[in-house]
Amino acid sequence: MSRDRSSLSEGAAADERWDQSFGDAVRDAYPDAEPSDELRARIRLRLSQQAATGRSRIWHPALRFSLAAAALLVLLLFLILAPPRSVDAGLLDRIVEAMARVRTGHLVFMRITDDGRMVYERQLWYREGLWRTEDERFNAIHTPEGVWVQRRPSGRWIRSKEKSRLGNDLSELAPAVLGRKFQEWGRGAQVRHLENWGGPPGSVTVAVELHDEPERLVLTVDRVTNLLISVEFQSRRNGKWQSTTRVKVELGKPVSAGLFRPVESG
Amino acid sequence: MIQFFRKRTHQKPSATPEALAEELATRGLDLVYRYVSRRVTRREDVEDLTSEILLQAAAQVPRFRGDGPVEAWLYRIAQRTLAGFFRRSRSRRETSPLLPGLEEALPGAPRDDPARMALQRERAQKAREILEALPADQREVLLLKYLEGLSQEEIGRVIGRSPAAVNSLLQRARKAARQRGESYFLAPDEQEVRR
Repeated sequence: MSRDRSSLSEGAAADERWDQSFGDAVRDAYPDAEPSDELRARIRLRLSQQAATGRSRIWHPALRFSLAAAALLVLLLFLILAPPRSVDAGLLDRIVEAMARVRTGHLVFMRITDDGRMVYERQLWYREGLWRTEDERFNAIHTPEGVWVQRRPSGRWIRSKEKSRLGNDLSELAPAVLGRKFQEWGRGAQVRHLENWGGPPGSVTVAVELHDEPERLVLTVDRVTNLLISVEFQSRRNGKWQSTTRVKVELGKPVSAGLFRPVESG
Repeated sequence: MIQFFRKRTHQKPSATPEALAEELATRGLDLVYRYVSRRVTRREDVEDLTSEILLQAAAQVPRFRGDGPVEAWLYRIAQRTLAGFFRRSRSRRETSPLLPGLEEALPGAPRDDPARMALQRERAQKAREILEALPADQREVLLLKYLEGLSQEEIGRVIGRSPAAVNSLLQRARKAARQRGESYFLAPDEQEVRR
């Protein structure tokens, strides 16, 4: 009996050793593989696009775009669902008209923490159909011919396989087009002037809201040029509007062509 | 940074879509890429499938119930996607010889001991041959156990079976593997005893 028990114990131990040895061999046979930087960049871009579109079912398929540009439009897209309301159509018309003339732009996205700190997130430049985005980890250049991605701060520029699709989609987001969409969507929104916003001299600030929506968009516009100066996303928390993201917008100012050339700008 | 991929977390992610995308693009990508590259040979397919799986995962986050580890949920999506891929390609799971230069990748390879290195390589080759010869479900549970380090319960979540069924499947898989390569994975003295 005890010999049987001993044999069983030895058998179990041998089984365990075999299992261990076989497991080691399996791990040797399938060494860890690492995704390439190019794949990382490509997937990051696609997930960012999907994250932006995933906020709402109302996103149109044609509106796939970069994370940076997506953030700018998140609230604008809510306007599609809203029924017609009274709106400061004159102001929106003026913004659209001004943006139609824009050929260059520079946008800086800052996240606003709960305690009011501003944290840099990303920025993008636009110049006549060309886009450059930069975030913490990657630089990307989007042109009609293709998309190039560079790991920051000084990685090699890699041409992405997503070139044509991203390029086409991003071209939809030129400030002029954005302005037209803004006008279109604005028909369903309420636009309220914010008298005490504290924008720069010569500016006017309005809040774009939808009934019962817990988020709104605050636009600060130059009274003379009617160009956007800043965009702020706000969420309603405990009955108060709290800013979550601020976008500093510079439109119509010189943007270097070198920013859109992978080699020279890298 | 969100804690979507805290090890063995059962918590439903509550991050923003952008933060979740970031997690999937970093830790999620590493997990999925390794999973796929161990089962598919062509690099182009590995990359396309990895991308497809992560995008599916991002879209399915709202349906994640948080009742199991995120890793198992991600492997579940990967497993289904690969099943579809193999069906579409109308080919049995791909087989591939060990890549030349595997020695470079062998963890802890005793480079100063050619005999041991050769043995390690031979065992790795044999382990792969054994796994390739097993039925797909048996091979999958062994890979999930040895490579991904999942428990029986977690394996069950990935392949959609109860822990008891996984236990039974693992037993059969081990037995089948052992029948195909008993001597390769025993110490010499044990080989003698078994003879």
